[in-house]
Amino acid sequence: MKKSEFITILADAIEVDASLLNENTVFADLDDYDSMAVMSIIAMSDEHFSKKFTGEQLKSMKSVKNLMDMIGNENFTE
Amino acid sequence: MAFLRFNNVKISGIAAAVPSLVIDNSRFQSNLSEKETEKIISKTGIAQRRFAGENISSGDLAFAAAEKLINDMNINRGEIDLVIFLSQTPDYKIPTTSAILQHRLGLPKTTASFDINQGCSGYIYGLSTAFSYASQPGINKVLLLVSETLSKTLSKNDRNTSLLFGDGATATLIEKTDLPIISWFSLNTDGSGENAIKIPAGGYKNPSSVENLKSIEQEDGSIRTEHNLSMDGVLVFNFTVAEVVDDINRVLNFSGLTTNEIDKMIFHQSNRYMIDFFLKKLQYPAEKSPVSIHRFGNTSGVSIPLTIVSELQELNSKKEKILMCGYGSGLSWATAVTDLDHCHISKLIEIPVDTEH
Repeated sequence: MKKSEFITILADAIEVDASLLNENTVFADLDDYDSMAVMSIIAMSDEHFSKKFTGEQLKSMKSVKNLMDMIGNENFTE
Repeated sequence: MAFLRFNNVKISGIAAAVPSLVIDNSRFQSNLSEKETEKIISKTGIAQRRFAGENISSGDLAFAAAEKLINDMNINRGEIDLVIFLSQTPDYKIPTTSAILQHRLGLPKTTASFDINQGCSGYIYGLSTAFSYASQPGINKVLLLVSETLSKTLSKNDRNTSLLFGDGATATLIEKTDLPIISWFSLNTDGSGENAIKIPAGGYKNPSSVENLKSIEQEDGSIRTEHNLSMDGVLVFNFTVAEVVDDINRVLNFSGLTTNEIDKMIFHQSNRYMIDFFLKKLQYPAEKSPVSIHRFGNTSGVSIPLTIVSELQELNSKKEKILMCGYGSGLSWATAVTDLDHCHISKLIEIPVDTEH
């Protein structure tokens, strides 16, 4: 998946404007980022990448970059 | 693998009772902002719940549901050879609520009784136990009572739980049948998630003390005592995404059925967003998966039979193959497939709550 497409899907999942998101975005800096947004990320990762996470991974997920590492960078192209 | 299969037992009736006190989440006073409250209502689908109030216990609600079922079906009380009370909010630590209900319901002294402590997977666990006993030659009818008053465990200032849980009870009659009904069960556990849903104090590992009865502010701004229910919603959601659909597929595989042959899928009513996720992943039509979460919230093990009573009255007069799946504290999850064949489904009853107290 193209990184730009991923950003659009992620923005849609966590209900923020895609223009506010890039690889360096720290989730905590987004207004309204909450536990329900994390649930949406879990659902999105399962739906698009069949990727499941551990509780520890989710606790240490701070940024879009972290999330992409968790999903696996081999899944993304420029 | 904990798989069970039965071909001589059926669910022959279900009744449900909820307290009359309606809690409207949009007006519920908590430490969530109006915007946060709206978002939770919209995502979880929980618009209303029922609270039992101070004077009604889980045993009281279960008694009302059981009386309704016994009277509606004209059940001979002398034929009830086992009563099971399944709850995480029993009336007392000692004795069992099932023993109290054996007497209160006028069941004979030859009736066996025990309680099961199980949460949101409880209906499936309870049914599997009831089916096992009902298979025995010496057991006529089994009465499975599932009842919760989780409202009594909540802190209204816990941001993760304050809007989600509600109270209710159901009674299910299980007995032998000559009908060609085959039922399949899958039961699972992951105790590594023991802290995901927990009331940490009040048992005997961490007995009640002045210290653990104090309200403490948590990292996320929630305020609760160690006697209040706590839940890590992200961990619970993550666990259901990882396990639930796989378990449903295991049961289907075990039974040789496909989703096309399932007339209704009834999920534990915990979170609308979660149910929609399962349906999408299973490519199962939403109109065949009844939902009652907007009316009653998360009632733990009660939610599956409560949904049948509140949303599936049509099953009184026809036969349908149903799949039921429950998941929650433990962590614990379980799935069952069975037929409801002209099963008696009582009308939902409301138990008056005295709000003066």
